[in-house]
Amino acid sequence: MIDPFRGLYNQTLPVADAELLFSEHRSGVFRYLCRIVGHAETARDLTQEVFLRVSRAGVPESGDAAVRAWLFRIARNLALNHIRDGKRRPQTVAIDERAAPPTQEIGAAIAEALAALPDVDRDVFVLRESVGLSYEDIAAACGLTVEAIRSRLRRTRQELRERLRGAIRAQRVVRFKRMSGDER
Amino acid sequence: MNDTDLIIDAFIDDEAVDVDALRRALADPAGREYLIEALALRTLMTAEPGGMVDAFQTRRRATGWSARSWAAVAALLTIVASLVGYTAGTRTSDRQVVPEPAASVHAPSPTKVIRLQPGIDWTERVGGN
Repeated sequence: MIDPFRGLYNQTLPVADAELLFSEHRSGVFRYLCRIVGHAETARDLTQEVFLRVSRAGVPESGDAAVRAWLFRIARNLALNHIRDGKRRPQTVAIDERAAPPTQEIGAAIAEALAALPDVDRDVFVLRESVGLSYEDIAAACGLTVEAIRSRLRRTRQELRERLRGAIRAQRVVRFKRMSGDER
Repeated sequence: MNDTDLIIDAFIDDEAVDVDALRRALADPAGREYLIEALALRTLMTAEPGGMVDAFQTRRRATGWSARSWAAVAALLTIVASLVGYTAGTRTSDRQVVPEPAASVHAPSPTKVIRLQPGIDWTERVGGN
């Protein structure tokens, strides 16, 4: 696969930009990793690893969208390596005694539904729904075309609607939450 | 699965959509149902489950004191100790009675005089000792 970020690595920004990147995207990276690895503590460690790699490699001097996609590509690779290493399967979900049981049940159901998805579909969906990346950013992060992202999102939403039908129907309140741009 | 779903997906994902296509999609009861379910799914996904709250913050709360907190406490203690020491020292020094220097000091008179004579009390040798 052709590296879409080829050519960006020669130019890097100072450490201050890595810190800015951390403050802007830490939560998004963490949310993504939480959904993918299904364990908050592991996600925290992986998030730190992501930004450690960023600080070592330097931030490519490019547009915000390209840098964002580059960052999530690092996170995605780390998450996939982690899952493949078998350290933590995505089926597992952290149990928090403070959370109300229905919340935990829904959380477990979401984790289970996500774990049943193909890796790429899960990444595409989580990057869209939990992180709020645009189709273009997801395409760059996953090495796919925008059309492929559109198609995978549609298919994944349909599958999750089936798998989570009970939880979806139980929702009495919904909010139109824009998942892009400043919402991150 | 149809174009209605695609149009609504694009709409809720902040993608550009054709107004007429969106109007048609939302005029369809199935389209409206899809929109509601898509938003409900998003609500589920964006809600932070109990175990997935920001671990950076929870860890900070769990461990209680960060290195910066400890440094701040140490600095505060140092300042307080310095102030207390200074205050105590100031008060103590105010109470001290400084003795007046004597007007004239005379050496006491000798009570015994010892006279040492060479050859009697000691002898000199070449090379010392």
